[in-house]
Amino acid sequence: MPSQVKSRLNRATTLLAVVAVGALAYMFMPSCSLLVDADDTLCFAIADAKDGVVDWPDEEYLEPDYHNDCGITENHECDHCDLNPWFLSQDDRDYIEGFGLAQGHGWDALGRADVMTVNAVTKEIDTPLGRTYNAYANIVYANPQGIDLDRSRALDDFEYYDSFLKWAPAYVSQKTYRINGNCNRDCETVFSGNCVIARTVSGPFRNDYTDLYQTFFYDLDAVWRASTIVHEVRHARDQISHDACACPNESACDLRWSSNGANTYELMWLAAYFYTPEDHPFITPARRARASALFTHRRVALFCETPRWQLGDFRDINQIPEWYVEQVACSEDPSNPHYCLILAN
Amino acid sequence: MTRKRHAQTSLLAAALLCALVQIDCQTSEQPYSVTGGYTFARDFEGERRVLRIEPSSEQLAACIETSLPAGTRASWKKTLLAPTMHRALLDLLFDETRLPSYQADLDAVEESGTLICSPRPSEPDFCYLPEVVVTGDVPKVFAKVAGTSPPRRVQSPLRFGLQRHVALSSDGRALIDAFLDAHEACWNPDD
Repeated sequence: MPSQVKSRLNRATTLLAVVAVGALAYMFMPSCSLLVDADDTLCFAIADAKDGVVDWPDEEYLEPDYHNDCGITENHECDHCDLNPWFLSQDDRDYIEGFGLAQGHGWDALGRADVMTVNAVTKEIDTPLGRTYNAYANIVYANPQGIDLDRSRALDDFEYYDSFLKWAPAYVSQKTYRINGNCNRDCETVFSGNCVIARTVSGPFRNDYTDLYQTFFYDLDAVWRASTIVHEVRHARDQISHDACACPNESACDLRWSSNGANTYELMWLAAYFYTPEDHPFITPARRARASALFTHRRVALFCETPRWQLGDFRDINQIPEWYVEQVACSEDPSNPHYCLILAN
Repeated sequence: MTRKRHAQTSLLAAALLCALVQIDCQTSEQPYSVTGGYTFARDFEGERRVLRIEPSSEQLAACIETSLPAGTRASWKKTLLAPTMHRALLDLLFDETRLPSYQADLDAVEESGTLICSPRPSEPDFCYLPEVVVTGDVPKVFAKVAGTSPPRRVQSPLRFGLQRHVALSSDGRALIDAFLDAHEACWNPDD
């Protein structure tokens, strides 16, 4: 055999051997998708159901090192079944379903049939759908009328919606089409804390929808879940996007308060929730404390131009009609409190 | 002639269809994210520096440096911090003996911090407070809320005033220095 042919054969054999070893290594290497899925404990719990019974994940925000007033030291108030009235009433559950959950996708897997189960030890509602109900509960029951509110009236009917907390459930209801549940934990990397809580898709000639992820159900307390919904709704039918600027939140920044975007709506709702009367039947001290902590942290994190006013500047938010709220709360100049914009559009 | 007109009509219809399909496809996707970590932000001398770190040094830190007002999207850099640097910053943040100093720094900036404002043409003035703010699952410090009766104190981010007339504790200064060192390591990893 000529030496040239022999050399070519050797080279081909070597190449083949390298390819074979590579293929073998690839076969036994965990795939990227497998690594990513390793974080999806909710999806695994659903897939691993025994006789149709899912062992729902433990709530991560109740871990001992999570600094949270709704946590284990505060009787789990935010998700406790006794403190969420929908748990006792089918009418209330139907009302909450009307916020876009009824036409949402993915809820059968996320506890539709199991929504009345609670954690036997903590008495916490532990299904993803139940925890989503708890989020809406904060929006519904913060307004003392609760499910008796007619949320179908025009949003500019300020004679009827005479406070921000009364207007908010109608806004959330009328501006959302579909709320979907998603078991994925959509994080930057496996075990990263930088995770997507919710994602809203909207556009002309399409029905808007919001996807809620594992982080929404299990890493957040119910007050934060509620303010997240108010935030997302602003992206939905109103189609208001975030601004392209740099704020501590990294993503989802609005240029300033008067951008009147999702972050403004979120903080307005938190402020109104915080300034409800002390004897409010639903808003317990722990819930109120969560609202204030969320407001103060997110106020400095969400805007590229940090709003100048503090939580205290919203103290009258629930004492004045909605049409006037914008004039008091939205000013960016403390010396000119009537620089206004329309929030209830 | 008829064939030409027919072709023109078809072309117009196709273009219209394309435009409609494009409009329909122009969706906006808005993710709402959370970080389980800690975010340090400094607004000072017309510049903003932000560093986001997670509890584990095995996770990437993110950082940005931009001028104020931060009206355009600058890009974030992501890098792994040296574990010792990461640990040192978190140790300072969670050292319980330093918490009273951090609380005093917050009280000082609440009482004495003043806004720096500059006019912008045909827009509201741009104002900012020269300070360092730390958000996330940070140790509990409390700020007073005006207009509540009885006076109420609510959980607040850590805040450190950077103006001369605002008293800053040595513990606060040490935390800021560690943050700026970590930011520098993230922003210029090759230096």
